[in-house]
Amino acid sequence: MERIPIAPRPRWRETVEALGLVWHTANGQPYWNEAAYYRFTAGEIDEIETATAELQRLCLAAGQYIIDRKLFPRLGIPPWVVPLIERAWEEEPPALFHGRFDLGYDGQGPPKLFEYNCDTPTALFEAAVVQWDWLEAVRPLGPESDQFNSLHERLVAKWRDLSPYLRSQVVHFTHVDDDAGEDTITVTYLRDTAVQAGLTTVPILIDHVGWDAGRHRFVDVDCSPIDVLFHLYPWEWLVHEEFGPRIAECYGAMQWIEPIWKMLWSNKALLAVLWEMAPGHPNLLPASFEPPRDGSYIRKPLLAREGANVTVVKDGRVIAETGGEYGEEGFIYQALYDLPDFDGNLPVLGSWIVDGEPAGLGVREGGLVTGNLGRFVPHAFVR
Amino acid sequence: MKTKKLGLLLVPAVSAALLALGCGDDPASGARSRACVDAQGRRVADNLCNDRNNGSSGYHWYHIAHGGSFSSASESHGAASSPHPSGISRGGFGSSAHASAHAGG
Repeated sequence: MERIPIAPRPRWRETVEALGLVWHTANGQPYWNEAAYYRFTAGEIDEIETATAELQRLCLAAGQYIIDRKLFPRLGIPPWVVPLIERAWEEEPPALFHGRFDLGYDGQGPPKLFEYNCDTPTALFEAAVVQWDWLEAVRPLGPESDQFNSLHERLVAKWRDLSPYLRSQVVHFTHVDDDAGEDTITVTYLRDTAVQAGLTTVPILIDHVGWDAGRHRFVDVDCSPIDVLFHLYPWEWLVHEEFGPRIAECYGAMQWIEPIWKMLWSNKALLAVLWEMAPGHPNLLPASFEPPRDGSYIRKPLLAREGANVTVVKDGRVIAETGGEYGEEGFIYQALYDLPDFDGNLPVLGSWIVDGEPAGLGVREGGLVTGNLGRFVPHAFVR
Repeated sequence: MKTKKLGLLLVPAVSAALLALGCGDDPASGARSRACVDAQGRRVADNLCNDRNNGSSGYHWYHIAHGGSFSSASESHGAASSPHPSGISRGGFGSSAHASAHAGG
């Protein structure tokens, strides 16, 4: 694993913007950073892929572990949601079964899980489309340049597989009206993959979703019932908002993608559960609900987004922390991991799952905590 | 190296609409914009959304906010969270996002 400086394409902004990456710059700094790329060996890619598959297997086991031991209160899940989660876990309703494992990796030891973003993962469009376009244009390792990236094909294939099991061939896609366009384009990209699978898609902003009290159904802007809803809007928000209880009221009448059982995995408590279930596993970092005695750990809220409210403590001293509004549900404590340092650039791997299988890789660089200002850097390897 | 054609249709249209509407403008302006789109989310002429006769054709406004300003259901569908005479209420989802203007992670 190496970080290779490289000249950006002369008109890289226009190029990535034309693809749809309208949030390529944040606070005056490139978010999309093609002034470097990460070069992996084929063996390293195989190791990341194998670890990703193993982590997915562990998460499946952890989901069953949580349900069997009824650990829902430790996850801060409201009691009224539990029957829905148990039902969805049992029935396995349609799901893309996708997500992004954030991993620490230095090319020396095994990849280590930081967290699993499997409910509303972003950085998908960059990983699936923009870095692939970069690879084809730049070919940094010659004609044989390759990339761990089958995201697009797998997403289209998964929608196609799901199609017969959907209540309707019209799928609504909802998201927030975000400033930067990141959520809008991420969801639009997923709509494109669904369209390529033969589905009809309808966009709707989350606050435009309506509740029809007469029909006991969620409806779109035309007052048509929503049969299938893809949501880039986290379950923990959905269930706590005003319409939350309506989810149970119409649960049997519509399909949510991803399903509500993703609340088991999109919660940092998963990290403590995984360690409790598989202590010493080479792809896990020690994690618990109590701070470790050695006084070195990273404290993460059970429910948070993009590195918010994280505190890094080393030898009892806070060395980094981020602000935010999370933490009400509690925290977990995870062992520290020394990220590889490439001249001050600290990469975190985002290893993607689609349909439960490894599907691609994105690399983001940041500081001790990778938040939403982390830079996305493309990668390449030669098989 | 393999090559692949991704064949995206919606992303270029929506991103072009975002850019045309000033995505990246000074967030302090608090400006908000909207685009008229069809049922598939493709941008169409604004007059199609303005024409009440097109109400059942799937044309609707797609709101794009800047500076943390959010479109509310009230603008086009009645007061948020309050029931419309039809028995349909809107705005019961989305409140958690107002602090972050972003829901992905």
